[in-house]
Amino acid sequence: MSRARKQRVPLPTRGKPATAQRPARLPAWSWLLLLLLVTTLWLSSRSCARGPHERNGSAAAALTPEQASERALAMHRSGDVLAALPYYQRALEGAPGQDWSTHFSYAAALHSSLTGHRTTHGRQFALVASSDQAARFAHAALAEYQRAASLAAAPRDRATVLLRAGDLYRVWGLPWEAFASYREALALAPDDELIAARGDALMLLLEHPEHGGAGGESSD
Amino acid sequence: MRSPLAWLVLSLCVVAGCTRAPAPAVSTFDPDSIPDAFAVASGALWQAGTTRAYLLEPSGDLYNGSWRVRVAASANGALAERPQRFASEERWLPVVHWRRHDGPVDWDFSAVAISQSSPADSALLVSLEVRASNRSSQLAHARLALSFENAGEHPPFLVPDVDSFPYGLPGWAPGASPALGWADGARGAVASAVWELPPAGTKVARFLLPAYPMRAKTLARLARRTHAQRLVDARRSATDELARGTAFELGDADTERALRAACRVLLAARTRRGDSWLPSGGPFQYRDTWLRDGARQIAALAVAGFTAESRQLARGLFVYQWPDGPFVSQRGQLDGTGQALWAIAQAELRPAPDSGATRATDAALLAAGWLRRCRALGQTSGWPLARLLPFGDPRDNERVRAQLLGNDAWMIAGLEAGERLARAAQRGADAEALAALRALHGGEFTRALARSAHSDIPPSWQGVGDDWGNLASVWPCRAVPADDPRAARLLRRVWGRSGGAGLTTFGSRDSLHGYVGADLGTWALLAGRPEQADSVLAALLHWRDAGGGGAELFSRDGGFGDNLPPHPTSAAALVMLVRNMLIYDDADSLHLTLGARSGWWTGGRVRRAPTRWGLIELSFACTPISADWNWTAVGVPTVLHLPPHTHLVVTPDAPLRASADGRAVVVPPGIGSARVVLAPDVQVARSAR
Repeated sequence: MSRARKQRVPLPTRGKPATAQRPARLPAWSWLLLLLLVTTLWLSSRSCARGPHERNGSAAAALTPEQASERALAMHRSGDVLAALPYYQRALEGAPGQDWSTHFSYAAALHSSLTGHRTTHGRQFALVASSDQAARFAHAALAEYQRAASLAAAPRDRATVLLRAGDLYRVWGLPWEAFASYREALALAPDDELIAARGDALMLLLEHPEHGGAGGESSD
Repeated sequence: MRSPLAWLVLSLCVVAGCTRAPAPAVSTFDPDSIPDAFAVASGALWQAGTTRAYLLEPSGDLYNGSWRVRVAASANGALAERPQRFASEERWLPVVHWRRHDGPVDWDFSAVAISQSSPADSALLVSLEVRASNRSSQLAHARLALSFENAGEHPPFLVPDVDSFPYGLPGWAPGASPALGWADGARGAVASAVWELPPAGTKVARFLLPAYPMRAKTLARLARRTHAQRLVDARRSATDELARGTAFELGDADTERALRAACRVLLAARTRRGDSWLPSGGPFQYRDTWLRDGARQIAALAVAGFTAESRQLARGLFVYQWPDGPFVSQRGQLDGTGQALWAIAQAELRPAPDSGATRATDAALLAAGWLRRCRALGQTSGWPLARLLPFGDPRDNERVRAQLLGNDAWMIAGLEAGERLARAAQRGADAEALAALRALHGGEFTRALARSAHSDIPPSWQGVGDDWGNLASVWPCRAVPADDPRAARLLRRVWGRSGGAGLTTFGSRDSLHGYVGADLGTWALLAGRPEQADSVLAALLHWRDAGGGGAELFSRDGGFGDNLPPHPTSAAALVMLVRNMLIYDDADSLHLTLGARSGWWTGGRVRRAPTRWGLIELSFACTPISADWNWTAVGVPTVLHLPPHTHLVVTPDAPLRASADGRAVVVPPGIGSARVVLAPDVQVARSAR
């Protein structure tokens, strides 16, 4: 409400006895306003009840795939990977879905959400709260990496995708799949030292798992 | 307008309903008469399909992982003692009682968890009744106050969806909405009652405690059903639920109640995900799915006669299968593939396969493809152990990164399960392919074990790590024969460390593990050592709380720290062992009374028991000179094991025949009763004299 339309309520006239008056009837527009307010509150509570993912899902659906793609990338860059997911899904429904990089970014967002944590009440919780949701995300990330690899025309792009797919397998504890992915990536980018090093390190671990970096810490 | 502090202070109110005339005694049950093996009292109020539960804390407070309900009870100004026990009626029913003393006043609490269905997740709430009784000959001034507080700095556990209350914790309904609790007429932060109790006087207060903030109107509606009615509902519901499963009538009340408690834990530890159900690691700190635990839970439910629940959970496991074939629920835990397939077969094949076997066969073939690829990649490397499964880093009880022997043992079990599923689905060629791969990988396993420098069955092929999956290699994995000398040496090592057959140690010698060694009990049965299996059962029966639940890891003096009971895998271990002692159907013959305790032979019965050859009934009894069995005839041979410390006196009449060691009688398919003449073993007869 603007300040100009705000009116002072007149004070009762001193000395004049107060008499019971029938309350003035509310004008029709105030009923409409009340209805609008109630509807807004109800929708707002529904929105809260649906949770942030669904809210983001409906917000993403309102955008064009191109707008959704930009929004997803912006959210992803700012570290809000879980919130970015519905925007990526929307982006993949249009032209960006034909581009390998959108699939790759979506896979990377899913992948990051699997390893991310949040702190609540001083304790760390995985971003993805349950093992079944984590499994769904991991499988979806793998499918997106595979789609990205099939769409990427440049060998180096495909190698990048395969490297990340290998990382996903490795993090999940499937070392042979990771190794195969690294080797496939290396075949596409033979001079890439990072890919070669990652494959070699894993090879060493496959042969001598009890050696190498940290392992065996308890999750319980 | 009052300040929040003033509101907090002034909201103290006398709950009108607290001063009602005492209700008829709910029960004469004395919670402190129920045994509890643990050093600290704790209890669980939970239900299947709900996402939170209430922990009954040693202090007598209730905590749900997000907030605490502080219970302050005092008489004549002195605070009540902590409860000694949180005991379930009959040590299994979902109605929990506890008592707090306080000089002249006894405070008796009873509580039950209610599942309140909603379109989304089911919400749990607790109906709690507090009864104050003046046991003295003088007037007592009693005060009860229930208030809410945040989880605090060092809570025993936190739920992932822990609530944030930036404007302070909501209070009590009907005064507040949404509210964290309901008490008749309560408002504000504290629901309290102040009573002047004459000698022998009693007053009662009732509360509802939701696990999530709930609308006052909903709470008021739920409060219309009285506490006494809620208790009756819970007893009836639990009794009806268990009546659907296998009935064990052994003339052994302790074991029968322990089985009921275990089944309740197994049924409660289920999480809903849309239309699917998943096993849950427990009500508190393990609220997630681990295939290594869930598989046990599914198998135990299957053999306990809960076919529908078992299959529902088994079918939920498909979510964990990667497109490449392996099942992984937690990163680095490669035993999940074999465990999932084994669990699915346990559920799908008892008492008879249905259409689920087809999908399960497809899953087994996918998993077999994964194993073939791992083996092929390993073959190219040329390392000695490369055709076994690659290393796992389970970040769990093995406490090592290595090629874990248990992963291969479970894979072998999974392939056998896949073969059985394929046969049930009438897919002979697939069954043959899975059997061939099992033989191939089993051969690799056996050769690697023979080459191992370790004298028994080591935790990993590298020899490092803590015993875990290797303890399952004889049973349930059946990757190592029961009479293998290495298996005997493993037993000797593990039980030698823990001080004899029973539970095994974990980590330090002072720590006992509630289930990991229980598989050795069935190993002992298969190796003809029923006394050792009996010791394992005795330990499982002993190490339970007053609610009937077992824990995962605890010290010998009964301390479990934050590893709160009940643990579903402990419950599964108990069910599986008792069931195997009576009915064992993992082999190609049906084995009956493989380890039935002496006391069970006075007329033991098992009804509605699912086996791989259908639902069976079994009754068995013995006298000093004979043993009788009656059972539902099956299409495979049945092996009847004699009562403990007895042997056959005369050769049984054909078509029955004695086993090679004279401790059992083999019955051809299609026969459902037998009687044999027997006598006590010499040493038993001597000791009796």
